[in-house]
Amino acid sequence: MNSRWRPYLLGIPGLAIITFPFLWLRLVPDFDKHTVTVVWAPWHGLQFFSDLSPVFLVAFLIWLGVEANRRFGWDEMLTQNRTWQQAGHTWNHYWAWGTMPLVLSGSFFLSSSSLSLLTNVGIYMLLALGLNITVGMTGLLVLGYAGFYGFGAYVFALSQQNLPYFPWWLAAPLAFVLGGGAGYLLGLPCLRLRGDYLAIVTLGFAEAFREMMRNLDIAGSDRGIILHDNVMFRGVGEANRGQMGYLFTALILFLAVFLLQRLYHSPIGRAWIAIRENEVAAASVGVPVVQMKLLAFSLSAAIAAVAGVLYGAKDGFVSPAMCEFQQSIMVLAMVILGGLGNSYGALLGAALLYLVPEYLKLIPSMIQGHPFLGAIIPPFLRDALQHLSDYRLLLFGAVMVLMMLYRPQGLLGSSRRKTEMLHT
Amino acid sequence: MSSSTTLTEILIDGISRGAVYALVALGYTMVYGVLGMINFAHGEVFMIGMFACIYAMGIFSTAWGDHVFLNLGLGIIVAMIFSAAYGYANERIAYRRLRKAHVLAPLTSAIGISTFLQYFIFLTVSKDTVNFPRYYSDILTNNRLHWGAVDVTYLQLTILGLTLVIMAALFFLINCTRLGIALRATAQDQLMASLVGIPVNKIIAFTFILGSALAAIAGVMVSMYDNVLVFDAGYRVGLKAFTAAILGGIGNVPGAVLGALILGLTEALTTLQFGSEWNDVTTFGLLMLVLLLRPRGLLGERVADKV
Amino acid sequence: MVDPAGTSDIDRNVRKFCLLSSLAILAVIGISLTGCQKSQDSQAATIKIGMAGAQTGSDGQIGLSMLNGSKIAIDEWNAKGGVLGKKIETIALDDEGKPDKAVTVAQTLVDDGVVAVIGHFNSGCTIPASRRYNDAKILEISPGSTNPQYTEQGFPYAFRICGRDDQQGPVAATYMHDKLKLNKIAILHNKTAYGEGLATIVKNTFEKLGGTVVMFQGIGENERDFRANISVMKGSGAEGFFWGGMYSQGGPLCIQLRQAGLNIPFVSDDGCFDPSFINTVGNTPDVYLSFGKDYHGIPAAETFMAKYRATYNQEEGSYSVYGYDAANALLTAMAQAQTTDADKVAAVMKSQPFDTILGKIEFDSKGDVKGSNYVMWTIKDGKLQVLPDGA
Repeated sequence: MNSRWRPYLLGIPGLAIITFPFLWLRLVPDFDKHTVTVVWAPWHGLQFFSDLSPVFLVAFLIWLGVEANRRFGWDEMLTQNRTWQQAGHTWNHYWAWGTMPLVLSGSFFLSSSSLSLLTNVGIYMLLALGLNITVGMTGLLVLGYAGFYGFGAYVFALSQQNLPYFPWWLAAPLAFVLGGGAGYLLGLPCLRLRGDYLAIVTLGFAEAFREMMRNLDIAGSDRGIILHDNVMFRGVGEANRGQMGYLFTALILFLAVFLLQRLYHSPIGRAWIAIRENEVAAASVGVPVVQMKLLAFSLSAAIAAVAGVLYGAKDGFVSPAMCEFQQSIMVLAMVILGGLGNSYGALLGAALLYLVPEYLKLIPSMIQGHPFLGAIIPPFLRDALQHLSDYRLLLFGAVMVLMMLYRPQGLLGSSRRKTEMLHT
Repeated sequence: MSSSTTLTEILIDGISRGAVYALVALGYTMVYGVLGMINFAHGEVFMIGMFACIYAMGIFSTAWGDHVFLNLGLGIIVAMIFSAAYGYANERIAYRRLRKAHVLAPLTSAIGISTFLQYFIFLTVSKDTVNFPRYYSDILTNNRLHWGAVDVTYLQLTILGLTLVIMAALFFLINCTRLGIALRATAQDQLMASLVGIPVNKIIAFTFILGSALAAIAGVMVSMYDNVLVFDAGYRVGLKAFTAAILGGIGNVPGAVLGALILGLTEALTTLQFGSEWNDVTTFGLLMLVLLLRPRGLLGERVADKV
Repeated sequence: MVDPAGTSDIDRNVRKFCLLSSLAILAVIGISLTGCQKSQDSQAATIKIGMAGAQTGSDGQIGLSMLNGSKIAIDEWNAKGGVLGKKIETIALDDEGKPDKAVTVAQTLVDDGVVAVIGHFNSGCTIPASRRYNDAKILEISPGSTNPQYTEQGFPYAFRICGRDDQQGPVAATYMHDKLKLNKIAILHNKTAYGEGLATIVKNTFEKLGGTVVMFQGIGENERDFRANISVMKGSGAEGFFWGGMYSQGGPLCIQLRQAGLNIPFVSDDGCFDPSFINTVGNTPDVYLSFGKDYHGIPAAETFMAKYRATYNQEEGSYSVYGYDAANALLTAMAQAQTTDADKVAAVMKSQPFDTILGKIEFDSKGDVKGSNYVMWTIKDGKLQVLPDGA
């Protein structure tokens, strides 16, 4: 018993000590002598913890949920604990076809800010699906995914701006091909050697591409490109731009899910999984490892490019900020949260990580207006909720670490997958 | 001003930049060599060292604020201790459980910790830049050494000197001491090393601690050099440092330093020729070039193949 | 204990269906709640004004202080009974200083049924967002976006109360050429729409005045080591230096310049006009910034500043006054026009002068303020002080 608790007994005070100066002390610069002194500022640290109090509350609820799960086994119900052989024909098909009319009809009765929100979610879902191919199915870490996203967006914007007779419907396939090509070229040197390099090379590509777009005037430099006519979605009957954007995104998303599911349940998908599990064993069984990796990477780059086209068409605006590292991390977190290797997991992760912060921003105003909630929720919680969006990225990081430690298979992954991931 | 003077100055700037990257790259390369893992949180440990030094100097300034070198030296030592503690905490919390897992797990965990630490400092210390107290850095930055065509500040000399000394010490450690043998053994095969009696957990923890301490020194040097500290300083430097480590050959100590110097020089020369807005593009181009032509890095990589 | 793996497939599928459909229904309810909530109060008993700007992120402090200034004005109007007989309701949204978020924010405000928008702060955000507002015929007045492109787009409902970079730039360039008597300058910028735009204008003006720009380079936003650039500057023989960008890089740049022994005049823009810049740079001589008129000493400004400090418990930011003035101008025009219809309000705004803390202002046909407001400031005794004319 003693040795089990020893890490915590030593660790928690240790953590308290190393975070002590940042939380409880404040720097006071002296401008005349150019020195600095330090003052004791406990209010600061207390503010930090009180702002995070809703998080602790939610964490407690999650812990309760996990315990309940152990009792009721919801986890096993939702996740597939079957082998890949058995999982061939599943209910998922019917789910997809069933929800399609519901989703598409939403374009008629949802308000345009909801449409805009959902279109954004749809684009992130597409990104998550694409990243899932490399990170989830093939086990390659890609850190600069947003670079391909921006690449597709700029292909669209530049083609619309500079090629006068370029038909808009050609932009998406063009971005698909060019994005795939870029992925192929980028992957070629890295995938032949150490897959770890892919992470840094893609990151470098995203940064370099972003810098190039910022430097060149024809790419609009930092202002980005604003397409005045938004040619992609204009003039198709009565529907306005928001509805068309939503419809297109939904259609492309369904297409992508369908195609990817078919791909995953084919020899190619099985090859990817084999590479993920054990590269050397896969090679010795005859899987063309490098070619499969390249295929995965090009395909995922191509999908990111298409997502970029959708974004550019939706708003008529592209900017270098699309390629930022933060975007890549967000998509990576979505895939991890939902489940590595699980298409529906990627969709769920995207929806959660995009919508939850948006809802959190709405909560303070909702509580204030509401008579009942406004009374029972104490003011410090209300203040905390107001400030919570500042802590968003902090929580992001914590969630990523905790997910990898305790649930690396993601929300929709099976416990079998957890075993696979933690014990290669 | 003749252009050859400018060229010399640019070369010196490049070398000092490179020396800073080198100190951080050493940490990356050591961890990768032993664990086969890119420690994304290394940049954040660098950044925390910067801030810890300032806090320490602030606390000590009440006692002996007037003694520049004493305060600075103590600040560096405290920064090293803090960074080492954070490095160790990272290892224990985020990486240890995932050591035998699929390579993706510790990598994403590292990214998570990196984001967490960045925003922790963002929220608790300052959203903005913090200035380094110039009282302590003025002696090094305002005094210059003129030697023929060369005109450097004492700080640049210190950085370069430190890098070389540390590189030599590290090389000596890894190749000529028993501890170094233990390190190399752990890098080659953890299971066998533990069977032979090497305390693998302790060795890995030591790697992290050593790398983090070096990063802390780099952090203090950089904050004196740039005069400002900001929460995302780690990200930028980390990316460049890891690129440098790859350039020189990952897992290879002299390689990391060489790669970093070349990277620094490339950046400085890009500023001279094309303008500093193209820095990232040329850095990336250099990386791709090396990967295409000499994929094992300039001095060859030293990682055991994981079969 | 329930053992789901042991039950039959059908039973399991039924339970899965129940669970998933309940989740789906919750999701649909959740989404439609956000969808419908906006249309609930279409029968407006209040007048909704949107406030958009950076509240978090690297420009969060300045953006927030700008919005706080506007809030003070709106509270004052509400205390007097609101405008057009109705109370003013503000919807403040954060665009984090990012252009893509700004567009989303714009869409949300449009759907919320705002009649006018005060915002955004960053030029890179205002420009794309303005198209949304224009399409929806919503009047927008920006207290802090200085990039000329914003009003050059030809939108009838776009206004700004600060100056434009093509007014600010020439002031700085003329000062450098005429007063500081510089013939060769080096320019660095931070590659943003604001920084690079301003730097280009300064370059063009300076060259038109007969000077030469010997160096024109951009710096990435995380870069803090400028030594290479400074070495190139030394080699180019520059007599003066202009920085187009924000204080977080301007500060270290100035220090490194002096440390390298380059004691040439350091000139910069309103992005460096912030107490943090002075804290970093200290009492360095030969530092000049361009900014709007000095409002210290004007009684209305002093009242405003006192009120700001009392309400928010902190110093006002450099753009708080502009936020206040923007809100006041907007509401005055609305009251004058007796309507919230954007066309009529815009017509009123362009037709008469308004009283603001910064003096009487008039909007021209593009939505800019007539006449340039920009003067040069310098650091004296640890504070920014306006240079008197002729200095």
